[in-house]
Amino acid sequence: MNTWESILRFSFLGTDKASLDELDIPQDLQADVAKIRQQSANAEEAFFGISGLVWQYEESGKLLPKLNALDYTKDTRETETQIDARQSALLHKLLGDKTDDVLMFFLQQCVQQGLTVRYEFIPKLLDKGKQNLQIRSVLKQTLGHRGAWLSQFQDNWQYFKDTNGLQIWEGSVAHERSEFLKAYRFSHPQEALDLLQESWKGENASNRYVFICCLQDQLNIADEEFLLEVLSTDKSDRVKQKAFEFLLQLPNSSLADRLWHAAKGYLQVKPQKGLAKIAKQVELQIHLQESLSDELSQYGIKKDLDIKGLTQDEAWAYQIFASIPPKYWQEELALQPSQILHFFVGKKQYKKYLPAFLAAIRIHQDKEWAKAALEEKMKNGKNFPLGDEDFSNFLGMMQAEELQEYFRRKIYKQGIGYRSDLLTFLENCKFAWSLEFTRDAMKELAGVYRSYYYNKNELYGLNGYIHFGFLAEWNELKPEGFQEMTQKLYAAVELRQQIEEAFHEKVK
Amino acid sequence: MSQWTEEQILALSPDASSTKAGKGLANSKKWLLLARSERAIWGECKGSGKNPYRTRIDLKNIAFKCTCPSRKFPCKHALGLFLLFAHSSTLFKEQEHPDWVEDWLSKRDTKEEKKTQPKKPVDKKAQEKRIAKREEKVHDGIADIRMRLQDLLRTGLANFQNESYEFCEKTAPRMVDSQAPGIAALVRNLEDIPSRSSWSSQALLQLTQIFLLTEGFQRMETLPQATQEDIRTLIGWNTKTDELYTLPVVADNWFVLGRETLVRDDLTIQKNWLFAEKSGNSALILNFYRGNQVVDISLVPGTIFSGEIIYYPSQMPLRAIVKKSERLSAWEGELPAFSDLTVFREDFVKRLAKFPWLDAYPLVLEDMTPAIYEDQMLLMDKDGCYVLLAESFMGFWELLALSGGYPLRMAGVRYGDSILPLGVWQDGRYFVL
Repeated sequence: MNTWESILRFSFLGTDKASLDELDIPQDLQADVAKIRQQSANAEEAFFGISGLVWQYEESGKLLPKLNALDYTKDTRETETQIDARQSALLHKLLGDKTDDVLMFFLQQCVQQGLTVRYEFIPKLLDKGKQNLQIRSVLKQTLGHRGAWLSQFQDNWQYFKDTNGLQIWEGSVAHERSEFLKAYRFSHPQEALDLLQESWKGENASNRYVFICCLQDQLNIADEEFLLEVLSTDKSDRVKQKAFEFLLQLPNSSLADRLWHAAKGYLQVKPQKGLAKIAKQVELQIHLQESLSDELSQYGIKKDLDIKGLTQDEAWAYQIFASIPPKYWQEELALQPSQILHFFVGKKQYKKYLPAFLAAIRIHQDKEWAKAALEEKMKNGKNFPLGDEDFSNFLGMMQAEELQEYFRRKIYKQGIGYRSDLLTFLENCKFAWSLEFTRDAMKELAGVYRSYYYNKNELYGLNGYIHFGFLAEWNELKPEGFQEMTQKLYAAVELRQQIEEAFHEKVK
Repeated sequence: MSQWTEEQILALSPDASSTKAGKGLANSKKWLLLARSERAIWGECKGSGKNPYRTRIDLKNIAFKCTCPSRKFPCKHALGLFLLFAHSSTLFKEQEHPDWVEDWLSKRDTKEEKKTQPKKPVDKKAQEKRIAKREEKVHDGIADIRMRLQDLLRTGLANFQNESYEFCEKTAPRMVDSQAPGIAALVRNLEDIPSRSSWSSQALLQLTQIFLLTEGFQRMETLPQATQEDIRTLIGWNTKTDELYTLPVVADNWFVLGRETLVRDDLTIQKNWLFAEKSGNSALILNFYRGNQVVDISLVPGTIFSGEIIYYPSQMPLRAIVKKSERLSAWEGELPAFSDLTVFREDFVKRLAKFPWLDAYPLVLEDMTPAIYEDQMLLMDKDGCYVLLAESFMGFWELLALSGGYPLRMAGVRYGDSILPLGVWQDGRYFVL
């Protein structure tokens, strides 16, 4: 037992049970210990004095523990061009602000310029990559060799070595797996489908729905067999409905054709004789059969679907209108989309089918019909029931010039919810806004501001489009409450500007 | 070009809306006048009133003054002016100070001088009476805690792990009542110890140190003056600032190694660790804040200033105040460092012999490599000797990323058997951890 251990043992027992004579004192200290004992009023005082003396003695003779070697291999010294001080200051701010979309923008600039981040940022970015798959996709280029080396040290960072992301598919949570599948579908459409087919039977209904939606991108004829199987065998109505929609969307969809031919037997739409040639006055006749054929049922039309406000046979007609590619009606009737839509808007007894047409436009992503629908919205305003989802979807099909034209014509003022339509509209303007467009858009947003309307998160998504030149004019926006509310948006736009300036020529 | 970065300037901002407004004013179009001298920058900014707001900044000892009605400090005009200067100092014309700048700077200089001059004489009799009363209270407190410690030792420390909380709850307030807050703090330190792995050793050491402190107090007259000062400080007597200004200054180039911020209830304790370039001395600048008091951030980690500090009297001078400082924009020096942990340890033992209550002090070490051994995070020197990293250290992965397995020059603070890294040097740059 060394001296300090004997001191500790004594302290545990206490002076009532142990004697100072039992302490194991080295020769060097015995004279000093004797002196302490002599000068102390009692055993307790003496013990504390001895304890202090022994501790100092032990400390002075203590040897430091040693390791034989590091238990990891050093990183190899690679020459990589790193970001400079200004860019580093921005990255430091981005990592503190938790603005992942702007961080992604920053990292994309690094990728474009072949730069890696400075070493001290690597751990935080590795942590980010664990949560955010988009950021993960650029980390290999931006963290460089040191990032790959550091990733070995934590389980959370093992994803870094996973070159094709399959580890995510095999072992991660649903939302990460769906993000992976979307990304993989984009780059490897067939392989993504194969992966999904392998695991399909073992997935729960919720996962099956999320994953089948990932096939939206790069939908092609090679998907048909799988989708048909899902349509006929899946137990989830939601999953089947999605498979049905995708089958209809396939280029030259055989299901759409078969459905069309079967539907013609049930539902007849004809221009009314004598009036068909007058462009503006379109009258159509819709004739329904008494029962729904089995064939139509087989193609996904549900016999017992209950739609509010519709009779059974009208519900069948509704489903047919919602499924058939709108262009088929266009060709069949030799009429323009606007004429057909206008008819359904104008006729009270047929207006009930309008949402079905809008659904068909959305499912088939028919831009010509989407444009026609938007024009009808502008003409008929609240009378044209274009819901938020379809409004957003149709706008998403438009080009920048078209959107700017709609903005000039104030399309967002024609609906029921001016504020929400305005926001939906601007969220779909996914192009770099000109300064003039930015001014007008921000002025409109400020114009509808009420403290209980937008919150800062709603507008934040616009940060990628706002023109940097507007930053200097931001403080002029009224009311002041709107300025306060858009602080987060302002900060994000300003950061983007600073990033642009840090990586490129100064942006005016 | 200004040495201040945008990040450092924005760190002075009182809140997010000031930051945003300040950035908005970092635009030359908003200023009718922009000027500078070696000491200060100033400008005139159009406001809502008839006369523009006049904003000035003392660059030597960072301070702000503006004629705007804002109660925020610094105001958006000061932030905007400072940011503009950081980005585009060439916009500021070199000029003589106008009256409104000169008057302000002169008043500031006068105020600084007054700090160093002795205050009005106090009522000596009343003061002596107060001192005597306090001494009596402390005597009683010392006697009380000696008795408690002896009682503890009589029955033994076997149950102390379970009884420490009760012991601290009863003893610490008694020490506060006895006007010995330093001893109260040492007692409070005992609360955390029982949860640690080597608790018995640490508990005994802490109890021994408290007891030796009381021994020292009882034998004060026999001890050297510097040790007497240390004991009084440890017990809880404070040295008044105006007394400090009568003490000699230590001039050097001081490198700000890092800052620790601790929060205890409503109290924020800021520890700024300094290291002298020429002498290798170290210093601790302590600041205390309560509630929403504005925190001093003029000592920016990773920067160096030429200045004078005054140490509180001690056998082992460490705590100090800054009397004068002038930031150095460029510095290519190198701080003196221990070559390895063994040399550092030898120094530590010598200090311990002089000052048994030695706790934290800063150091610079050469060639330190972060390591992981049996799930513990360590620092290893060139000979393979290692020391534990302080439990409070949160930057291990950043340290490892910077190192890549290669040794680095490191600044840190010794706490017990561990080191808290404050920063490392790499490729000529200092990274604050």
